[in-house]
Amino acid sequence: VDATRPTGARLDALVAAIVARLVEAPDGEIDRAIVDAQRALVPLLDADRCALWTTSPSEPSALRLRHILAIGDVRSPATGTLASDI
Amino acid sequence: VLGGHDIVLRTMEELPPEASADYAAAARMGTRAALVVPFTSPQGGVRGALSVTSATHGLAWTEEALASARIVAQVINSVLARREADRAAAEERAWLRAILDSAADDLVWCVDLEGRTLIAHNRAFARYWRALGIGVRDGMATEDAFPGNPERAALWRSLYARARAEGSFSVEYASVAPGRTLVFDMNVVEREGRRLGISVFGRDETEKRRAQVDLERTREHLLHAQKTEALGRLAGGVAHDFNDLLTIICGLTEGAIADLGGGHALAADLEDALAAARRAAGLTQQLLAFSRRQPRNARVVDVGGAVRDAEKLLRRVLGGDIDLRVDVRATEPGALVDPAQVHQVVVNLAVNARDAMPSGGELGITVDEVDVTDDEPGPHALAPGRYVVVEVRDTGEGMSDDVRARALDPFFTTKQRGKGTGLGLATVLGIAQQSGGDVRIQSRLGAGTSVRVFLPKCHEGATSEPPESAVEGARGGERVLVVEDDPAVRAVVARHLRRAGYDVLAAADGPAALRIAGEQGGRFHLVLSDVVMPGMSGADLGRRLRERWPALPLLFTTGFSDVALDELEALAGVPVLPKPYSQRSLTAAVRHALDAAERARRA
Repeated sequence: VDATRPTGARLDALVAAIVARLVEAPDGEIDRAIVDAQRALVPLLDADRCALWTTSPSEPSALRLRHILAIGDVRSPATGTLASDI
Repeated sequence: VLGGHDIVLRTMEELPPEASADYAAAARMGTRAALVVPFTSPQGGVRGALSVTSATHGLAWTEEALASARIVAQVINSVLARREADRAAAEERAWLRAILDSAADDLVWCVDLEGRTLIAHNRAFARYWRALGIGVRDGMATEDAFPGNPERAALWRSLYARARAEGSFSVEYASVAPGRTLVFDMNVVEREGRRLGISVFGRDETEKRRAQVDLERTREHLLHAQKTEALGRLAGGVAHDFNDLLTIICGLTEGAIADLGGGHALAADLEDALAAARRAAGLTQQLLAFSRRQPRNARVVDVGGAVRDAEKLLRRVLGGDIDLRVDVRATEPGALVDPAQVHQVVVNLAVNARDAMPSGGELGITVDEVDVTDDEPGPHALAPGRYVVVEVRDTGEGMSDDVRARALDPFFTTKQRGKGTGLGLATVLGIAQQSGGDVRIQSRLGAGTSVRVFLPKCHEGATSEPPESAVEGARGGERVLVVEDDPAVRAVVARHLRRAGYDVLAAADGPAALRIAGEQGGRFHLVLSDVVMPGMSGADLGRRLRERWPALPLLFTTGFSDVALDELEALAGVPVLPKPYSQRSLTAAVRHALDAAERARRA
């Protein structure tokens, strides 16, 4: 575990800020707010990729990539890719 | 993940052997450690997942890290769900709006339960108010729709309160737009047992009501026309039989007076009897006129001249208390009518006017021409065109609306018993309509009456006929074939003509007439025939005689008959002598027909 990672109350505060930004996002800026949340979350957890997968009413058993945030040269699938296709 | 479980992998080697495909996929993406948290819909199904991975090193995921990822994933889930719900609601609203707007002319709106605020409305509602200069929007107060008209706002508040108290009802409403009638259906809007507001569905029923009124009016006209037609048939039938009887009575009485000589003691009684029979004949003419079955000698008549001719008689009829003013404005207003009928029209109207002015007054008669372009619609609407109009107006007591509405009905009279037959105006109407025109009455109680008789203008020049008096009492020695099915009438006619010097042969019907004509080789100067006869009509007889002897002069005589008169139209130019007739008018008509035939032969 990286000792520099925020923990405890500091982590809670940073997560609360991410949540607030998401909750307050108007309808037209929700996608941007999600990507911002991913960008904020990745360093908090000492990771380098964050992906959001969703199902749809027509594909309830298929997870499709909706948003992805990667840091550096990390390989990433394209949005719209099915998890099962990776 | 699809089973709703978190995946926490510090290294990919922690994957169980059965997840070899996932291991391979992770290897392809260079994934070294992974944290995956699913999120679910309110119904329980997995809606998605948030994955956080590392491609550079393994990670010892702490509980804090897992909790943080779960929180962010759930919030993203909520935000996405909210957006989907908002979009679904917006789409539903758009649908509802489209449905409401599809009622292109009906006004639909909804207010809150207290009727204070507009919640929703359709396009027709907005258009209606825009036409009145008021822009409406959801959220506006009820009062704002009626600036300067608090009574209307109060009315609507009371309607909303009634709906709240009673539930659904319909109400007819005189619109703030003048002359429009609206009907509103009021309903309480409920959802899952909760009362949300009051909806109103309004439709403009102005045109529908107008159409109903028009339909009702047309039905009344039709019923009236049927009633008049039935009365006319009855009256015409009676008049026809009366005419035959009166022809006999007049003929025999005239003959008796002539035989007895003027100095005989019985002559005065016979003159009175003859005068009474002539009055009866006048009554039958009225019956026939209103029933439009009066035989007509229609020709292009200078109506103004005919009115001026009647002026002297009118002054005598009206008496000294009434100031008569005749104004012929058009120089040669010609109409295709029977001149005797013009006389009848003016006299009937003048007598009515006189009776409406018991203490005297002014009676104006105007003859003018007008162009009718757009008459009031209805079964008796005048066809567009030029008309000669005879207007008779008085300064008398006028009529109430009820009386005016029935004034043209046959046998309707406001006069005392014995003073009027109720046929005067009906006769005028009959004559006008028989000529293709109509009658219009304007009247108000205490403000006099104006009756305008419209006769279609005839553009041919007015023709002048030799006055009957020129040939009255005329005699002759020509041979005349009389065809008449009634033996008494036949005998009277033959007797009159022989007395006037004519050589008379008589036939009881058409076949007998054809036989006699054949025996005589058509050597007649004139055939005088009744029109209505059993077996062969006078018109048929005339056609057959003309087939053999095209130049044979004909003279018809008739009481009335729709069919026979129609047939006579085909024998254009054949003169018609209406029954009953006097000895003078019979001999005059015969002389006139003979002279006309002689002129034609020479020409």
